[in-house]
Amino acid sequence: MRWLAIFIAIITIAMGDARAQQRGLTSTAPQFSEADRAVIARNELLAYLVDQNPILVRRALDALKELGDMQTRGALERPSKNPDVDRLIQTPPETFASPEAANDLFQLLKQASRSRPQPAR
Amino acid sequence: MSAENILPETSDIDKDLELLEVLRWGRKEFADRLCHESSSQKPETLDVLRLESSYQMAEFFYLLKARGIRTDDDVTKLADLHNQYIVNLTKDPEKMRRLGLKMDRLLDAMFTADTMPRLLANWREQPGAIDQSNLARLLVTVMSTETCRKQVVAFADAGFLARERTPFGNIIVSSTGILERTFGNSIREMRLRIQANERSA
Repeated sequence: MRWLAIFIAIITIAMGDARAQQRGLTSTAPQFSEADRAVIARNELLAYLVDQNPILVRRALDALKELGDMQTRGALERPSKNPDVDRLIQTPPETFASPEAANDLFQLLKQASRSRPQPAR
Repeated sequence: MSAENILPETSDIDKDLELLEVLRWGRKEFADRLCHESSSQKPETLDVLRLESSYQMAEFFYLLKARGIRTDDDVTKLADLHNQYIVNLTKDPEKMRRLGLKMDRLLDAMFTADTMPRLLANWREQPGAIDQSNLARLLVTVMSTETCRKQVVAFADAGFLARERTPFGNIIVSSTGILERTFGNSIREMRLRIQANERSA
Protein backbone atom coordinates (compact mmCIF):
# COMPACT_ATOMS: atom_id res chain seq x y z
CA MET A 1 0.00 0.00 0.00
CA ARG A 2 2.79 2.40 0.91
CA TRP A 3 4.54 1.70 -2.38
CA LEU A 4 1.30 2.33 -4.21
CA ALA A 5 0.90 5.66 -2.41
CA ILE A 6 4.48 6.65 -3.24
CA PHE A 7 4.00 5.61 -6.86
CA ILE A 8 0.78 7.62 -7.17
CA ALA A 9 2.48 10.60 -5.53
CA ILE A 10 5.35 10.46 -8.02
CA ILE A 11 2.96 10.25 -10.94
CA THR A 12 0.93 13.15 -9.58
CA ILE A 13 4.02 15.28 -9.11
CA ALA A 14 5.46 14.22 -12.43
CA MET A 15 2.25 15.05 -14.28
CA GLY A 16 2.27 18.48 -12.76
CA ASP A 17 5.83 19.15 -13.81
CA ALA A 18 5.08 21.36 -16.77
CA ARG A 19 8.69 22.44 -17.07
CA ALA A 20 9.80 18.89 -17.72
CA GLN A 21 7.25 18.65 -20.50
CA GLN A 22 8.49 21.92 -21.95
CA ARG A 23 11.98 20.43 -22.10
CA GLY A 24 10.58 17.66 -24.30
CA LEU A 25 11.35 14.86 -21.88
CA THR A 26 8.36 12.93 -23.07
CA SER A 27 9.86 12.40 -26.50
CA THR A 28 13.54 11.76 -25.79
CA ALA A 29 15.38 9.33 -23.59
CA PRO A 30 16.22 11.07 -20.34
CA GLN A 31 19.80 11.55 -19.23
CA PHE A 32 20.96 10.83 -15.71
CA SER A 33 23.99 12.49 -14.19
CA GLU A 34 26.25 10.82 -11.62
CA ALA A 35 24.36 12.67 -8.91
CA ASP A 36 21.05 11.43 -10.32
CA ARG A 37 22.36 7.87 -10.36
CA ALA A 38 23.39 8.19 -6.73
CA VAL A 39 19.84 9.26 -5.82
CA ILE A 40 18.37 6.42 -7.87
CA ALA A 41 20.69 3.91 -6.19
CA ARG A 42 19.61 4.89 -2.68
CA ASN A 43 15.87 4.85 -3.45
CA GLU A 44 14.50 1.37 -3.92
CA LEU A 45 11.46 2.54 -5.86
CA LEU A 46 13.44 4.67 -8.33
CA ALA A 47 15.91 1.82 -8.87
CA TYR A 48 12.97 -0.46 -9.61
CA LEU A 49 11.36 2.01 -12.03
CA VAL A 50 14.37 3.37 -13.86
CA ASP A 51 14.51 0.67 -16.54
CA GLN A 52 10.75 0.43 -16.96
CA ASN A 53 9.90 4.12 -16.99
CA PRO A 54 12.97 6.37 -17.09
CA ILE A 55 10.87 9.41 -18.01
CA LEU A 56 8.89 9.08 -14.81
CA VAL A 57 12.09 8.72 -12.81
CA ARG A 58 13.55 11.77 -14.55
CA ARG A 59 10.49 13.79 -13.53
CA ALA A 60 10.67 12.55 -9.96
CA LEU A 61 14.32 13.63 -9.84
CA ASP A 62 13.39 17.03 -11.26
CA ALA A 63 10.66 17.38 -8.67
CA LEU A 64 13.21 16.54 -5.97
CA LYS A 65 15.52 19.24 -7.29
CA GLU A 66 12.64 21.69 -7.01
CA LEU A 67 12.45 20.85 -3.30
CA GLY A 68 16.08 21.88 -2.82
CA ASP A 69 18.32 20.48 -0.13
CA MET A 70 16.05 21.03 2.83
CA GLN A 71 15.79 17.82 4.80
CA THR A 72 12.31 16.97 5.90
CA ARG A 73 13.16 13.74 7.67
CA GLY A 74 14.34 14.08 11.23
CA ALA A 75 17.61 12.56 12.34
CA LEU A 76 15.85 10.24 14.73
CA GLU A 77 13.47 8.78 12.17
CA ARG A 78 13.91 5.20 11.09
CA PRO A 79 15.93 4.68 7.92
CA SER A 80 13.82 4.60 4.82
CA LYS A 81 14.20 2.49 1.70
CA ASN A 82 13.23 5.62 -0.26
CA PRO A 83 14.77 8.52 1.67
CA ASP A 84 14.55 11.03 -1.18
CA VAL A 85 11.23 9.88 -2.62
CA ASP A 86 9.74 10.21 0.85
CA ARG A 87 10.39 13.92 0.62
CA LEU A 88 8.01 14.12 -2.33
CA ILE A 89 5.11 12.76 -0.33
CA GLN A 90 5.70 14.58 2.92
CA THR A 91 2.62 16.32 4.18
CA PRO A 92 3.21 20.05 4.77
CA PRO A 93 5.51 20.59 7.75
CA GLU A 94 3.34 21.09 10.78
CA THR A 95 5.11 19.14 13.47
CA PHE A 96 4.58 22.11 15.71
CA ALA A 97 1.33 24.01 15.68
CA SER A 98 1.57 27.77 15.82
CA PRO A 99 1.56 28.81 19.50
CA GLU A 100 -0.85 31.57 18.50
CA ALA A 101 -3.25 29.05 16.96
CA ALA A 102 -3.01 26.77 19.99
CA ASN A 103 -3.74 29.70 22.29
CA ASP A 104 -6.70 30.75 20.13
CA LEU A 105 -8.15 27.24 20.36
CA PHE A 106 -7.69 27.26 24.14
CA GLN A 107 -9.49 30.60 24.41
CA LEU A 108 -12.27 29.41 22.12
CA LEU A 109 -12.95 26.42 24.35
CA LYS A 110 -12.82 28.70 27.37
CA GLN A 111 -15.49 30.92 25.84
CA ALA A 112 -17.61 27.87 25.06
CA SER A 113 -17.27 26.52 28.59
CA ARG A 114 -20.21 26.10 30.82
CA SER A 115 -20.02 28.11 34.04
CA ARG A 116 -18.79 25.72 36.66
CA PRO A 117 -21.13 25.19 39.62
CA GLN A 118 -19.58 26.37 42.87
CA PRO A 119 -18.63 23.47 45.16
CA ALA A 120 -20.72 23.20 48.35
CA ARG A 121 -18.89 24.59 51.36
CA MET B 1 25.46 44.15 26.58
CA SER B 2 26.55 42.47 29.79
CA ALA B 3 25.00 39.25 31.13
CA GLU B 4 23.55 41.27 34.01
CA ASN B 5 21.63 43.45 31.58
CA ILE B 6 20.22 40.51 29.68
CA LEU B 7 18.94 38.73 32.79
CA PRO B 8 18.73 41.49 35.41
CA GLU B 9 16.38 39.82 37.90
CA THR B 10 18.96 37.34 39.17
CA SER B 11 16.99 36.55 42.30
CA ASP B 12 14.11 35.27 40.16
CA ILE B 13 16.17 33.22 37.74
CA ASP B 14 16.24 30.13 39.94
CA LYS B 15 12.44 30.20 40.20
CA ASP B 16 12.13 30.72 36.45
CA LEU B 17 14.42 27.77 35.82
CA GLU B 18 12.38 25.60 38.16
CA LEU B 19 9.22 26.48 36.24
CA LEU B 20 10.96 25.76 32.93
CA GLU B 21 12.16 22.43 34.29
CA VAL B 22 8.63 21.47 35.32
CA LEU B 23 7.24 22.49 31.92
CA ARG B 24 9.90 20.44 30.14
CA TRP B 25 9.32 17.49 32.44
CA GLY B 26 5.56 17.73 31.99
CA ARG B 27 5.69 17.48 28.20
CA LYS B 28 8.10 14.56 28.31
CA GLU B 29 6.16 12.83 31.06
CA PHE B 30 2.87 13.20 29.18
CA ALA B 31 4.32 11.55 26.07
CA ASP B 32 5.79 8.75 28.19
CA ARG B 33 2.48 8.17 29.91
CA LEU B 34 0.53 8.12 26.66
CA CYS B 35 2.88 5.42 25.36
CA HIS B 36 2.61 3.52 28.65
CA GLU B 37 -1.21 3.65 28.54
CA SER B 38 -1.37 2.59 24.91
CA SER B 39 -2.88 -0.82 24.33
CA SER B 40 -0.75 -1.05 21.19
CA GLN B 41 3.02 -1.06 21.40
CA LYS B 42 3.53 -0.93 17.63
CA PRO B 43 6.45 1.46 16.93
CA GLU B 44 4.46 3.41 14.33
CA THR B 45 1.66 4.03 16.83
CA LEU B 46 4.05 5.02 19.62
CA ASP B 47 5.86 7.38 17.22
CA VAL B 48 2.58 9.22 16.57
CA LEU B 49 1.78 9.35 20.30
CA ARG B 50 5.00 11.30 20.84
CA LEU B 51 4.18 13.94 18.23
CA GLU B 52 3.14 17.49 19.02
CA SER B 53 -0.20 16.81 17.34
CA SER B 54 -0.92 14.12 19.96
CA TYR B 55 -0.49 16.72 22.66
CA GLN B 56 -2.79 19.10 20.77
CA MET B 57 -5.52 16.55 20.28
CA ALA B 58 -5.27 15.28 23.86
CA GLU B 59 -5.52 18.83 25.15
CA PHE B 60 -8.60 19.38 23.00
CA PHE B 61 -10.41 16.33 24.41
CA TYR B 62 -9.30 17.26 27.93
CA LEU B 63 -10.65 20.79 27.53
CA LEU B 64 -13.99 19.52 26.21
CA LYS B 65 -14.37 17.54 29.43
CA ALA B 66 -12.75 20.00 31.83
CA ARG B 67 -14.69 22.95 30.43
CA GLY B 68 -17.94 21.04 30.82
CA ILE B 69 -18.87 20.96 27.13
CA ARG B 70 -21.37 18.13 27.31
CA THR B 71 -24.79 18.89 25.89
CA ASP B 72 -25.75 19.58 22.30
CA ASP B 73 -26.40 23.20 23.37
CA ASP B 74 -22.78 23.40 24.52
CA VAL B 75 -21.57 22.02 21.20
CA THR B 76 -23.80 24.41 19.27
CA LYS B 77 -22.20 27.28 21.18
CA LEU B 78 -18.72 25.90 20.45
CA ALA B 79 -19.50 25.48 16.73
CA ASP B 80 -20.93 29.02 16.53
CA LEU B 81 -17.85 30.46 18.24
CA HIS B 82 -15.66 28.39 15.90
CA ASN B 83 -17.49 29.73 12.84
CA GLN B 84 -17.17 33.30 14.08
CA TYR B 85 -13.46 32.75 14.72
CA ILE B 86 -13.01 31.43 11.17
CA VAL B 87 -14.90 34.41 9.72
CA ASN B 88 -12.67 36.79 11.69
CA LEU B 89 -9.58 34.92 10.49
CA THR B 90 -10.62 35.21 6.86
CA LYS B 91 -10.70 38.97 7.34
CA ASP B 92 -7.14 39.00 8.64
CA PRO B 93 -4.78 37.96 5.82
CA GLU B 94 -1.68 38.66 7.91
CA LYS B 95 -2.85 36.33 10.66
CA MET B 96 -3.79 33.69 8.09
CA ARG B 97 -0.26 33.91 6.75
CA ARG B 98 1.23 33.64 10.24
CA LEU B 99 -0.84 30.56 10.99
CA GLY B 100 -0.12 29.03 7.59
CA LEU B 101 -3.78 28.87 6.62
CA LYS B 102 -5.34 29.29 3.19
CA MET B 103 -8.79 30.69 2.50
CA ASP B 104 -10.21 27.47 1.00
CA ARG B 105 -9.02 25.45 3.97
CA LEU B 106 -10.66 27.87 6.40
CA LEU B 107 -13.94 27.93 4.49
CA ASP B 108 -13.98 24.12 4.44
CA ALA B 109 -13.58 24.21 8.21
CA MET B 110 -16.78 26.13 8.83
CA PHE B 111 -19.87 24.33 10.06
CA THR B 112 -22.56 24.76 7.44
CA ALA B 113 -26.22 23.87 7.08
CA ASP B 114 -25.00 20.46 5.92
CA THR B 115 -22.40 19.71 8.57
CA MET B 116 -23.86 21.37 11.66
CA PRO B 117 -26.88 19.01 11.93
CA ARG B 118 -24.55 16.00 11.73
CA LEU B 119 -22.34 17.44 14.46
CA LEU B 120 -25.36 17.90 16.74
CA ALA B 121 -27.01 14.59 15.84
CA ASN B 122 -23.86 12.61 16.64
CA TRP B 123 -23.37 14.45 19.91
CA ARG B 124 -27.03 14.07 20.90
CA GLU B 125 -26.95 10.35 20.20
CA GLN B 126 -23.76 9.85 22.20
CA PRO B 127 -22.35 12.83 24.12
CA GLY B 128 -18.75 13.34 23.08
CA ALA B 129 -19.13 11.49 19.77
CA ILE B 130 -17.96 13.50 16.80
CA ASP B 131 -17.55 12.90 13.10
CA GLN B 132 -13.86 12.70 12.22
CA SER B 133 -14.23 15.43 9.59
CA ASN B 134 -15.94 17.69 12.13
CA LEU B 135 -13.13 17.03 14.59
CA ALA B 136 -10.71 18.12 11.86
CA ARG B 137 -12.80 21.29 11.38
CA LEU B 138 -12.50 22.22 15.06
CA LEU B 139 -8.74 21.54 14.99
CA VAL B 140 -8.12 23.29 11.66
CA THR B 141 -5.73 25.88 13.04
CA VAL B 142 -3.48 23.39 14.81
CA MET B 143 -3.31 20.45 12.39
CA SER B 144 -4.23 19.45 8.85
CA THR B 145 -7.11 17.13 8.03
CA GLU B 146 -4.61 14.40 7.13
CA THR B 147 -2.71 14.80 10.40
CA CYS B 148 -6.02 14.70 12.26
CA ARG B 149 -6.90 11.45 10.49
CA LYS B 150 -3.49 9.89 11.25
CA GLN B 151 -3.81 11.03 14.84
CA VAL B 152 -7.27 9.52 15.23
CA VAL B 153 -6.07 6.23 13.71
CA ALA B 154 -3.13 6.09 16.13
CA PHE B 155 -5.31 7.01 19.13
CA ALA B 156 -7.81 4.35 18.12
CA ASP B 157 -5.04 1.78 17.86
CA ALA B 158 -3.81 2.87 21.30
CA GLY B 159 -7.30 2.43 22.76
CA PHE B 160 -7.79 6.14 23.46
CA LEU B 161 -10.53 6.70 20.88
CA ALA B 162 -13.34 4.49 19.64
CA ARG B 163 -13.61 4.80 15.86
CA GLU B 164 -16.71 3.58 14.08
CA ARG B 165 -17.75 3.74 10.46
CA THR B 166 -21.43 4.57 9.97
CA PRO B 167 -23.59 3.02 7.22
CA PHE B 168 -23.22 6.41 5.45
CA GLY B 169 -19.45 6.07 5.34
CA ASN B 170 -18.68 8.66 8.02
CA ILE B 171 -16.18 7.92 10.78
CA ILE B 172 -17.46 8.70 14.26
CA VAL B 173 -14.92 9.02 17.04
CA SER B 174 -15.41 9.19 20.78
CA SER B 175 -12.97 9.23 23.63
CA THR B 176 -12.58 6.28 25.97
CA GLY B 177 -11.47 8.72 28.71
CA ILE B 178 -7.81 7.65 28.90
CA LEU B 179 -6.62 10.75 27.04
CA GLU B 180 -8.41 13.18 29.34
CA ARG B 181 -7.30 11.34 32.47
CA THR B 182 -3.68 11.13 31.36
CA PHE B 183 -3.58 14.76 30.27
CA GLY B 184 -5.33 15.92 33.44
CA ASN B 185 -2.96 13.95 35.68
CA SER B 186 0.08 15.39 33.90
CA ILE B 187 -1.18 18.95 34.24
CA ARG B 188 -2.07 18.45 37.90
CA GLU B 189 1.33 16.99 38.72
CA MET B 190 3.03 19.88 36.99
CA ARG B 191 0.98 22.30 39.06
CA LEU B 192 1.77 20.44 42.28
CA ARG B 193 5.48 20.39 41.46
CA ILE B 194 5.45 24.13 40.85
CA GLN B 195 3.60 24.71 44.13
CA ALA B 196 6.05 22.45 45.98
CA ASN B 197 8.97 24.39 44.52
CA GLU B 198 7.40 27.66 45.68
CA ARG B 199 6.85 26.31 49.18
CA SER B 200 10.43 25.09 49.46
CA ALA B 201 11.86 28.39 48.20
